[in-house]
Amino acid sequence: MSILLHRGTRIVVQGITSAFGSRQAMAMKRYGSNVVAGVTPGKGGSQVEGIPVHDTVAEAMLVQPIDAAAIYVPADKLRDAVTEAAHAGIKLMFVTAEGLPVREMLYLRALTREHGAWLIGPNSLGIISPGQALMGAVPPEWVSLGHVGMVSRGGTLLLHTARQMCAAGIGISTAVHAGGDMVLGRNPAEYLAAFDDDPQTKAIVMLSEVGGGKDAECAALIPRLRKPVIALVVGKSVPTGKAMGHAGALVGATAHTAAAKIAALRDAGAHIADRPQDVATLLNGRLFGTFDRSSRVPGSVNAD
Amino acid sequence: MNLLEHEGKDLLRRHGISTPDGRLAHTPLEAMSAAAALGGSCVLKAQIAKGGRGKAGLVKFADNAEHAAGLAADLLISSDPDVELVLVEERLAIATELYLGIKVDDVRGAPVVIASASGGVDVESHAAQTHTHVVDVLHGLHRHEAVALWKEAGIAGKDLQHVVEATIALWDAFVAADAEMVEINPLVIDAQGRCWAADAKVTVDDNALARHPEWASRSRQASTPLEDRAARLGVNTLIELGGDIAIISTGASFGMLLLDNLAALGAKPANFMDMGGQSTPIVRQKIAELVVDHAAQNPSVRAILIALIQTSRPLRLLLDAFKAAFGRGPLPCPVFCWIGAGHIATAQLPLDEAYAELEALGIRTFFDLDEALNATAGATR
Repeated sequence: MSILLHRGTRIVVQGITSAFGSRQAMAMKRYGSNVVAGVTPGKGGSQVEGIPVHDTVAEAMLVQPIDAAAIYVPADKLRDAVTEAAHAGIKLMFVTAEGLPVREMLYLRALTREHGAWLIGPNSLGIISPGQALMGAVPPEWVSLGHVGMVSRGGTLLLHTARQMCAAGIGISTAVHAGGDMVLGRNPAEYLAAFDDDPQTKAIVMLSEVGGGKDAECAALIPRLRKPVIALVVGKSVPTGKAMGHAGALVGATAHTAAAKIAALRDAGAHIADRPQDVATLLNGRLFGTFDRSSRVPGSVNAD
Repeated sequence: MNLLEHEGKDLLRRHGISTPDGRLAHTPLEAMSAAAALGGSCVLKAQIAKGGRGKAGLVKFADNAEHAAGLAADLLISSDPDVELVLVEERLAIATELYLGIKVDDVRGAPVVIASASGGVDVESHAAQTHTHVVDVLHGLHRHEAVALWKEAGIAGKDLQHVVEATIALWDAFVAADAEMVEINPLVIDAQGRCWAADAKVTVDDNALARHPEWASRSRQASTPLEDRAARLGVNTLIELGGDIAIISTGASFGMLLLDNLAALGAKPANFMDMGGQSTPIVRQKIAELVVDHAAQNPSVRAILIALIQTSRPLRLLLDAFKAAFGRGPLPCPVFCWIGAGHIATAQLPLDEAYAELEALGIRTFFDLDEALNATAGATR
């Protein structure tokens, strides 16, 4: 299996008619994601590369059931787009826009949870379950199918680490960028719990950064997990009091420094990687002995 | 962005919270006339967006107008260089000092109201005495919830009515201001039983500043000229760090990884940069030009490192932006480049072909990040 996104997951792309949205939709489809519809208000009845476009998510769902929404609308239209998907009954949303005001995200986090939906992001690069499906911009050629679950607060850090794992022959069950913002649809700890419940996942890699209390929540959870956790925290050398690109990445309290987080995660039983390449080294048999690292995708993944 | 105290108090007043009578002074003379208007006895508070002003000696008490002028002079001239403004306020007859705050809890993903019967102190170090209520944003803050919170904190009777009104008003202010944090410490109950905000700390969400033109012009305060120019170009984040390696990169977490890895090599980055994933080619070109021009004018910059991951847009767009920026003349210093490219980025243009075009401009390119970092660090040793 995998978490959240699986083979056949029926996907609607909201904002499909923008240049960015259509490019992403095509790349997802090429990978084998089951993109069944697009939505742009006012463009209903048209097509993007063979994908039928509807005016609303609800109209698209009259044609076929839909499980997930990949949402490519700018931040100022996000509240409406996510609300529409939630009201239509979609249970998985992937949101890539950055710059969303916190007030809007507080609302969307509460709303999606009330509807039993799982929102990935905002400010997320994507999610990939190798050999099965992709939402977002994770390069298929940088991941292979296997047994390691990955969750990251940083998109670029996820890509860089996944790529090195792939080169070292380590496969992935699902890799997901939880998002770079202060308030997320789902916290990294919730992804850890999901990986712990996923039979395909044998070990979990969490990638994090300075700022906020989300890693402390992970540290509290890790002793209760059945699977080993490898943790990497970046920002050891950043100055305090400055938001380092992510609204959430600001060292205020002492507990939010990389050093404090690393100490807490180590105390919780996580294996600490200093650099992305160390993640692969730790996983690569040394730590887990007979750990079954990888089973390559049998030719089905088409890297572009 | 942190508001100054007087801006925070303006916000609170607009939502019905009483604040002490006060005036702003830019000079000792203005402070003197402000103090005279308040009857002589007053408190002078330096207006800077930093905590711990009391401990830093940036809050002073004057007995008369002359005294106020002298203390204002001390604050404006002889202390923190950021002090440009002094708030001169009446002194409250304090009976009780409480703490009231609302902040976004990044783990719960919800606003939390924090109340304490012991105000005027650092509440983080008195966590046992603080009481919290997590707000359900789909329904807002209800009065009965504020009552229950303050009862739990040990407040009763008339005081309870007053602090509950202040709590509801603060919630309104929190929402209206797109705040990440609002804090009244202390919330004062005076000898007559009236409730006052003796201080105000407000942090406004930077992503919501477009909705708040009254504060938008302040957002770039305390930044360097380079940071300021980058912000005007729409760069998500550029922070100067004082080293000799200028960095062009995208991605916050990857940018931090670069800083960590360069530090491990003993190298000193001149800046942190997260261009922002959604920046357009022309913006990327202008950012690169900004870095090149800055390096040309500042001999302290001894190398430029381009290190970024590109997957969701064609590599050609990025390449042309860099060619335009670096092809304007001789390079100001050695330039090293690593691009982690894949997926959509390399669909039409393989990385080695893109690298050949950069090498033609004298830029050294690398397929391995560690090699690029080692070469860059070596060039500045």
